Amino acid sequence: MGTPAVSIGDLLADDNDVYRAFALDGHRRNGKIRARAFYRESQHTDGLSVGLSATAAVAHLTTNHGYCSLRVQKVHALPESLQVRSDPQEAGHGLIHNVPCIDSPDDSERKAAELVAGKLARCAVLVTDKPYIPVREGPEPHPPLS
Amino acid sequence: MSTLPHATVKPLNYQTSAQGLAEPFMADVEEVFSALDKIADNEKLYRPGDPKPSPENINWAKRVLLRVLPSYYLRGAEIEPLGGEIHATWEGSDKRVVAYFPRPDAVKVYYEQIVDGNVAYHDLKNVTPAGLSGILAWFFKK
Repeated sequence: MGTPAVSIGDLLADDNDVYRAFALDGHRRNGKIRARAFYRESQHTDGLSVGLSATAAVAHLTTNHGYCSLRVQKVHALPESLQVRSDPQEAGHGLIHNVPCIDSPDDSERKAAELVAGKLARCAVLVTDKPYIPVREGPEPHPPLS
Repeated sequence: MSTLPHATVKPLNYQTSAQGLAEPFMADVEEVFSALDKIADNEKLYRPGDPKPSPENINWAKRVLLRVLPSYYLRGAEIEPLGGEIHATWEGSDKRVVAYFPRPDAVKVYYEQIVDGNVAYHDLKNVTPAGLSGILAWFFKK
């Protein structure tokens, strides 16, 4: 008997872009992306959430304050062994694995989390600092019958 | 009795090593404490379900930041919660300092310096209020 195998999703190719939504106003300031936008909290057990599209990045947020893009190659090139993978549980969703937790009781992990968050913020490109509301796809609803 | 030749008296020229300091200092300090007062009620700082800092932790952060000397080092600090903790962040063009107040009686500080786009130096320490002032002196030094 052993531990059940955990499906971690496919490693994304370096030439992909992924998207990180700004869940809070303080994730960007004066046109700059702040390290806080890349804080991973321990409640996010699988990794740091990203979208494979901008729409997927904001899908689970009730509000957002814009989003940024990240070239996967830049993340994989960091010396911290981060891996950008698809999320096998949800199409269109991805996870950055090996991101340390900012709220760790272990100071060395918190220090690493702050370092990584700063590096990811510098790798990222601001797309918009305005709320992003995806356009719904599909047929227009029928006008009400008069 | 001789008098000072007024023409030779130069105006006082106060100088500081802090980055871009401008009067009034008190308004900057007030802003920080006002942000701490409002931190639990400012819904812009939270996602649904995020825990808020306890009143005890808010008081602890105030007590520590009140002891930062000189008080103008508080200028530009962003006060934000995270998972019940309080963070005070200073961000400059090449330096960043984050003071964490995870619970009453604990203060940790992360600080880093960027040179040519790379992290040249970084560390995280448990500090006293005096230690925090020292790191902020480094942050504000040009």
